[in-house]
Amino acid sequence: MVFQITLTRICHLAAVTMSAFILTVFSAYADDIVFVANKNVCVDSLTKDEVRKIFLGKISMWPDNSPIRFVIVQQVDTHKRFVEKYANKTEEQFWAWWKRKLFTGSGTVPIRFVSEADVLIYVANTPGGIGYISSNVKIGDNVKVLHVSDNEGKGTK
Amino acid sequence: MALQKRTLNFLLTAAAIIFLCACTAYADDKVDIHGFISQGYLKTDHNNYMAETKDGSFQFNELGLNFATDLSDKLRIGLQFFARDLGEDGNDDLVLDWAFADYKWRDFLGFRVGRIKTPFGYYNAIRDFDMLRTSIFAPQSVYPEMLRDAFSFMKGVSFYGYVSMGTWGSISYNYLAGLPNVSKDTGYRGATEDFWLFYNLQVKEMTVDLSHAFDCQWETPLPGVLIGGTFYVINNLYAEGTVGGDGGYADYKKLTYFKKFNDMTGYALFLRYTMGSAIFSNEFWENKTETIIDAVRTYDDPGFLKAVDLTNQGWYVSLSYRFNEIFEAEYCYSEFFPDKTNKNGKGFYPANDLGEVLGLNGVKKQLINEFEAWKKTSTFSFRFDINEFWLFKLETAYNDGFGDYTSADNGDHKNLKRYWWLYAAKVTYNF
Repeated sequence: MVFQITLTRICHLAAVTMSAFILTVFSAYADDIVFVANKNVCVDSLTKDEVRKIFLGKISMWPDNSPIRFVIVQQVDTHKRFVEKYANKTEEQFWAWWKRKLFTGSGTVPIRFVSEADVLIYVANTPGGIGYISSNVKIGDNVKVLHVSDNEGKGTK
Repeated sequence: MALQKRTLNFLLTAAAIIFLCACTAYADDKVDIHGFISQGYLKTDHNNYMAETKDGSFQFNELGLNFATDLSDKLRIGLQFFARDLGEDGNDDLVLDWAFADYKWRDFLGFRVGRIKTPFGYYNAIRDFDMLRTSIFAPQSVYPEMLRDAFSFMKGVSFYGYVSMGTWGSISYNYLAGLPNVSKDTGYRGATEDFWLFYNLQVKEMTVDLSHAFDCQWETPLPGVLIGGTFYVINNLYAEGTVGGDGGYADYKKLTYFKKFNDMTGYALFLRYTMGSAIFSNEFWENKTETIIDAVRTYDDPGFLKAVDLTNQGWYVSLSYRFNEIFEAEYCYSEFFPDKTNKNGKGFYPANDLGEVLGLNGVKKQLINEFEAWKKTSTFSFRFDINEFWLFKLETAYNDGFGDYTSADNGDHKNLKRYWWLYAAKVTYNF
């Protein structure tokens, strides 16, 4: 009887642990942002810091000096995850940054797309294009997926 | 009548902007058009500040509209129209705020030519843009209205760039050479007349020579820590006008005409630390003005020639926090000293002791009250983002002292109060 109860508890605990693990994996997957670039872009990977600098307009050229053309997706969850994880800003700070550039004449507000499918179309058809989408969006072979590393030294500059 | 004219100006400008906005639907999609419009209200319990605030004032608004387009991958052009009203300043006259061509050769080197916003500290370039900060006013201890026009833009050329330094972070820099926005039609005139109130100066002419500003900002390896600094030189800031009358000092000395030549040098240093929704900010500023005064007497030409040095000093520390998508709050403490060598007001000469003025160091600003030697302010600001386009702000500031230069009418300063409150409200639409 005692053995049965113990076994039941172990099974219950295992089930809960497994569920938690699956949920964690699933949410990590769901939370992931994928960076896509036009096929002619001369890099295959970036660091997180380079991603931040690109989407804040601090870097505007690829290593071969061709122009970077980045786009923002308005899809709320994806954009919010991107801003917090890669731009190191809150949503409000991100847009305040761009409005600062806009109203002082040092930049224009990034192009925004409502759907992630539009981001893929823009990136595929725009030399130097880069954007981000949620990892659960199907990606065709007309764009390249950029690997993004945490460390400064691992990206291609 | 003047107020009606200003209101008409403002309404006409607003109508023009609404018309232009309507036209954006038909505009070429390669031209970006953005703008903002804001209306505020100011009230003080004592002392007029910026406007006739003792009775409450709606003479506090801004309006801007900008156009920009990329002519090529590296060349873009843009311009921004701007109108403001703040008490006696601006009067809703539409002016060109900035307009330049920008050629970015590499990330580490770009060039701009035209009318360019002056880089100075963290807030100067954005001081007119209400939606870019929590508070209604940029901290007046570092961004006094007295210098607003002189620092708003220069007509000239700038070199700028951005360099990544690996584990050392990155640096951005901006050097600007040109002519600052100084003329008898700018707000600097009112502040100058206020500074020389005791001489009853009426400015007739203002000019300036080629000036320089260099700004550098370091994104440190510490996440969220930004350190910046600006150094500037404004050369030969010249003003001339009539003095005398009203039985004041100039009248006593039989002075009739007044010329002053200023060379202004200064620097600002700032530290900003952003941690999630919280931003800590600290800034320090010093501005040295070397002045030569050539005053003409009615009976004893050429009168007298005096050299005066004056160093303004100001600083602030602030902490802002965004609680949610709608609400943000900030506390700021600031101190400003018109003369850093005399922070308690004791060293200034009493207004009625003319003999002492003559016998000592010549011409200095005459303080009616000791507390005009400082201004120490605690400001609480509350910002409400109604949606992406609309925002509303409330602000209250408790002030100790009146060490500031404002073109608002405070008579002969004898009725100024040392402790006073400023209340402000503002609503802004931007797109």
